[in-house]
Parts: sequence; structure tokens; C-alpha cells
Amino acid sequence: MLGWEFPPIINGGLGVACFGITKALSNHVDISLILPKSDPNFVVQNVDTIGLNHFDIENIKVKTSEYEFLEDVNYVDSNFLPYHTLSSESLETKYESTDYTSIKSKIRSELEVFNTNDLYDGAIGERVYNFSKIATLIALNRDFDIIHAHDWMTFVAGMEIKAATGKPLVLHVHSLEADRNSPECKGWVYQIERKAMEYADVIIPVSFYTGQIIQTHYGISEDKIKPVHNGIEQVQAFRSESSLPEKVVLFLGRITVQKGPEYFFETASKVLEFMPNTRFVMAGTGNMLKGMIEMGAYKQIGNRFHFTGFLTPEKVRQLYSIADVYVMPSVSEPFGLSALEAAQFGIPVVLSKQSGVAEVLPSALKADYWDIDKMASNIISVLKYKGLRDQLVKDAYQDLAKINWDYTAQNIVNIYNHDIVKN
Amino acid sequence: MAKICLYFQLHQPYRLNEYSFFQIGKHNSYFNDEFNADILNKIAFNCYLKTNELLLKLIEKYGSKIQLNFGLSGTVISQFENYNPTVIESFNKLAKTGCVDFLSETYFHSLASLYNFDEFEFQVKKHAGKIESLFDIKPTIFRNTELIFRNDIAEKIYNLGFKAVLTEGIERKTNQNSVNQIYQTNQLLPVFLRNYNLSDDIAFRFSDPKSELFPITATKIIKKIKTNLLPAEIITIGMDYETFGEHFDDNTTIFKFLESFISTVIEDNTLQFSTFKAIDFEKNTEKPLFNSEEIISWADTEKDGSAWLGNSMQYEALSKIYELNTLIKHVKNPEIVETWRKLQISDHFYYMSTKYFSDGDVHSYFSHYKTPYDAYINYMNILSDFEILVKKELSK
Repeated sequence: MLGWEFPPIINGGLGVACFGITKALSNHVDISLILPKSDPNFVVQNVDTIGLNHFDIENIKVKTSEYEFLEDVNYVDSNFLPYHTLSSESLETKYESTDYTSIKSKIRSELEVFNTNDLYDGAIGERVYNFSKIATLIALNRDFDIIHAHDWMTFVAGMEIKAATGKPLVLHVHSLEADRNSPECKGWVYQIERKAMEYADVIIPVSFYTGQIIQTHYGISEDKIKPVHNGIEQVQAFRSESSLPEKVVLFLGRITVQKGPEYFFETASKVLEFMPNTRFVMAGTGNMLKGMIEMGAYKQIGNRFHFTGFLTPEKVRQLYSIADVYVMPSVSEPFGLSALEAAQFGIPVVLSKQSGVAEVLPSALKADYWDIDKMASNIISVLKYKGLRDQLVKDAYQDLAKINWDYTAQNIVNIYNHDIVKN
Repeated sequence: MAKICLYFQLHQPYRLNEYSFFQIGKHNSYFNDEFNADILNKIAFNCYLKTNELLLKLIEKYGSKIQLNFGLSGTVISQFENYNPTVIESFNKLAKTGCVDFLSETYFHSLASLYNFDEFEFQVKKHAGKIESLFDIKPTIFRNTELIFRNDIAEKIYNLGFKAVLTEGIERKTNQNSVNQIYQTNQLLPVFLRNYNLSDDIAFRFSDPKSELFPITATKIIKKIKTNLLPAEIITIGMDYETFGEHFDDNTTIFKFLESFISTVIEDNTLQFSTFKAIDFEKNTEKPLFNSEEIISWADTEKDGSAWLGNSMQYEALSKIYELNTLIKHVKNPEIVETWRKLQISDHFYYMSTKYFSDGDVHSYFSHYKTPYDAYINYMNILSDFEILVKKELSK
């Protein structure tokens, strides 16, 4: 299993999902989980977790002869890595020495990129590249049957390992470049994603919605796309007395193009025309935050539109406990775990149709992300009509009863057993 | 001889326009006339006119050996009058043969029997008046919207002077006794029970390969009657008239089946078609009691009121429309009062049912809304607008 984000080091939904899947899967299969960065104090039972931030090459029992594979890796590297510019040094020259002490020292220096607070900073390319080499090294010293890689950061490693071992490659797609940027964006991350998906044996997107994008934007055959929905951990939901007399409409997520914050803003303006006693809370941070604040002031609805910045999970739960509607107007959302969290707190959910979570939450009101009128009308209806609110909450609990990580894990095991052609 | 009572139901609602929250107070039109006309004309072509023609042909051949019961809601009749009067002419021809009877119901195919007996009585009388004026037949047998029945409603029907009532043959209400006999209510009002198992063989399972009778033929249905049901007093086979040509199209041989079924029954010397009203109720005075404190109906597998009163959206919407009665009583404008009644059509609430929704099972064959929530929001927006309209009218 190749992961990137993992608790307690979490940026978004990827770490949460990766943890949920790994933990539930460990009841069915033996897992070695390789991460760029892990916290040794965070232990998942039955999972052999290897974090490269504290990985010591000496701890791995390698016969000297086994380093020979590195030649193969070099060969594969040149095929897969589309961003040679990352290193002026040719891969071929890197390990050509037979002096294994110097190889080890080289690896040690490569491991340094994982001692970072931000796995996604400017050095991400180098990090992805080093991760793939070292993960391959580790993989070659283990006995395993399947490579399971989560998102593009680990896809290169997945390909390398498949090339070096011939083991089947399963790609788990939590998010795509086509979601994060515009679908037209065909940069190097897109290239990695596409190449990896072409090379993979099975692709597991977190929704049919994402499966569809993989077909249309990446040209991958439907046959190897096997969507499996995410699960969710049970939480102790609670309601708190709100200090605000007005109804609270909540947006929660990164404030980036993908999450549709400007649509939330337009929707809020529309709702406020008809229901002035409403407050809109935009929780989270991101590169569009500043623009959003300025727009609020410009449109003179700043007094009804609030920004919280980044929130701890505890604060997020507090916000859920006072919110009256949860809105997720994402332009393209592969899944959207936060919508399920909101539903757990008994908040009616209004979603964009361009979201995977809509597939498991029939009880959410839906509109196209650009359809401001429909989105606003959905919010107003929830606030205004009690019968609807009660019903949505009740139905959402029924939907939630069918969603858990064990179910997700079972579906993945079925794919392992039935959809992977064993070599 | 066992009596076979064939009963066909016709109903079309006035479907609503898409009405957004932002239109509340603007009093745009509520009913989607164009859509309603399209649907009505399509079904008239596929089913009503074709099936009527077939029945007329058979009546010409067999005469009064054919006896049929029809239930036409007031809202389907008024749509025939507006969009396709030839259907009325065609029913008139059937009425003139003397071989068909028309049953009573609420004009607006409403749930008034559950909310307001005065309103219920008004709608029943309006419907009876309409049937009599069109077909010169006074309805004497009552069937409520979707065969809804409850003891208090039965009492009301009795007080309105009906000769008998028709409802669903639910075994839990007959103590597992045969539904193929006449029962009676506490007031000794005769009760006819629809044999849903037999009816659904045709209406639901006609082209279902999993049906034990598939492919369904008249011979098989009659064999089933003779083997499993006889001896019996009366066997009621009732279904939507749209079964013929609409739910099952021409290619499924449904028309051939109907023709063959009618001919085979007539040629059989143990079975005989009858209208409900021609049954001699007095022949057997010791009828078993049929009563139900809870709502029963022919809807869904539950056969109770949950198709319209199954969730909080439906409860709210229904109580709101009937609460308006206190204002409507004072409204003189007949158009507004008529609109109030059209908003009572049971279909509006049926579309809000969430029963099978989350299972992905589309309960929505009969719904043009994407989700029950959409149906509710749309209805409530219209109702909110209507309430403003009524208040404006009263303040004039």
C-alpha cells in the first residue's frame, strides 16, 4: 500500500480516506504501508507502517546483490517520469557505482526531502521521485501480491514497483488533476495520472462520477474502472445552542476553485435578497480566501458573510453543531466526505451534482454548481419548510447507515479477488 | 355462476408548473397545461380510445353478456373536455350500450375523506353530477381515491346513500377468509373487495418473465380462477385502464389478451360478467363484517395510507392545504376555490413519497419529479403563493 497523507498528518480528505481504507482492509489482508511521512506514535494495528521521514536504510536487511535491481529501476524511471527536468543529474549515473556504501549514502540524502512540514511544497516533484525509488527498494525486499497506490503522488512508485516485480497495480483515485484544475489542464501531473492509469491493472475511483471523468478525460477503458465509495467513521454528533438568532448556512473546505467558493458567494447573495435573516459561514482556507473577503465587502453583505480561516477538527464539529444547512457547491468533487460528516450532525445537505458523495446520499438536495437559482432555492426551502428539513435529516440517517469503511474494504477485497488477473 | 366484476380506473392529475421560490407572490400559473395536454393526448391515443373501441366492438358481438365498471376521476374528465373531447364521445357510446356502469369517487381524486368530510361530500356530489350529466347514469357504488377505506369513511359513504363500496381485498382485514365474496360494514353497507393477486397478474405482471403465468394468456388466468378461486360469489378484477396500451404497449399483446379474456369468460358456463350494481345484495343477508380502523388502500405493497402519508413532507403539505379551508370558505371567486381543490389532487402528495427512494428503486414511474424533495419544494412554493393570493382576495 502506497500512501501520501496519513493521520496525524492530514491536509484534506485523502489522509482520512487512506486511513479508513487501510484500517478496514487490514482485517482482510496483510498490509505494508509506505508513506513519505509518518508519526511513529500513530500505530494502526496489523499494518506495517513505513514512514520515509524516519526510515533507516540500515534497518532493512538487504543482500548486497539485491541492489542490482536498481538498474531495472533506472530503466523504468526513464519510461515513466515525465519530468526529467527535476534533476539535472541523469538517472543512469545515479547508482552506476557498485560501491553500495555510496549508494546508501545517496539514498540517505534522498530521504531528507521527507523531513518537511508540507508534503506539497515546491519540492513535491523531487519528493514524488525519491518516494518512488525508495518505495521500490523497500517493496523488492518484501513478499506481497498486490500494489495499491493512492493518488498521483504515489502512482509513479506504483508503476516502478509493478515494472520491477510484475505484481498487479491497483490505483485508488481520490482526486484528479481534472478536478483540482480545469479539465483542460494537461500538465505533468495529468500526464502521470494518465500514464499510471494506462499501466494499472485496476483503477478504483471513489465514485462513479470520478470513474466517468477517468473515462472521458483520460481515455481509460471502462473495463478496468471499478468505483468503490468511501466510508465514514461513526462520530458522537451533538447540537449546540447557537448564539446567533439567524439561521446558519455552512461552507467548509479549501477555498480554491475546485470547491466553488464563488458560487457559494453568489448563492448567498441570492438567498439574502429573500431571507435577510441568514448567516453564511465559509470555513477553511485557500488561495481564493482573500478575493472572497474582498468580494463580500464589495457586495456589502460582509455583515452576513463570515470567514473563519483554518479550523481544527474540534472547531469544525462545533460549527456543524450549530449549522442549519451544509452547502457543498464544488465544481468537481470526487467524493466529499465533509457532506457525510455534516449529515452525521443532522444537518440537511445541499450538494452540487458534480460530486461523488451525491451517489451515496440520495437524501441531499442537488443542483448543478453553476445553477445559483436552484442552489439558492434549495437552501431557502430547507430553511423555510420544516417538513422538508425533518425528512432530509431522517432520510440522511438511513443513507448513512449503509456507509462504512468495512463495506468499502469488502468491495476492495472483492476487486482484489475477482478483477485482478493473477500472474 | 360466479360473477366477474371487471373494474377499470381512469385518472390523470393536473401536474404543476415548475415554480421556484422566487416566484412566490408573483401568482404565475400553477398548472402545466401544455404538459398535461401532451400526456393526456398520448394516453388517449395509446389506451383510452383504442381500448374503448375494442370494448365497443366486443359489445356489438356479445351484447349484454359484457358488463363493465368504470371509474373516471373528475380531473381526467375535465381534461378530456379541454384537450380531447373525442374520448368523452367514446365513453358516451359505451354508456349507451347499457353494458357499463360508472362508479362514484371524489371529483378531484383527493384525500378529502381523510381531512374534511364536508369537502369530501362536496367533491363526491360534484363528481356524481358530472357523471350523470355526461352519461345519464347516476353512480350508486362508491370507490374512494386509490380504494382508500376506513370505518369512519364507510359510515360517511353510507350516510351519503350509496348502495355499496369497493375497496382492496386485504387478507389481514378478512381474517384470511376469501375476498371473493361480499362483506359488509358496521352500517351493513355491502363491501366489494378487489382480488389484487389476480388483478396484478394482469396489471403488474403481464410482461414479467418471472411471473408463474408468463406468458400470460386468458386461458391461464381463467384456469387459475377455476382451480384456485371457485366456488366463489364474486371475483373483482380491477386495475388502471392505462394497463391497456400505456403501461403495456401494443407489442405486448395486451389488447389481444383483453379480447380473448372477455370472449373466454362469456363462452364459459361457470363465469358471468356483472356490474357491481347489478349484484343482488339482498340474496345473502348474512355477510361477514369488513372493518378497518386504519387506512387501507390499493397503493404499494403496504396497501395502507403510507403512499401519501408516509413522511413529514407529506404530512405538512397535506395539513397546510386543508388548513386553508378556513380561509377558502369566505372566498367568492370560483376560480380560486377550484385551484384550491386542484391542489388537493392526491398525486401531488404521492410524488413526495420517499418510501423506496433511497433504495434507488424508482418509485417514480408515475412522477415527473427527479426526487420527492423536488416535488415537495415545488408544491410548497405554489402553496405559499396561493396562500398570499387567497389573503389578497379576502382583503379586497
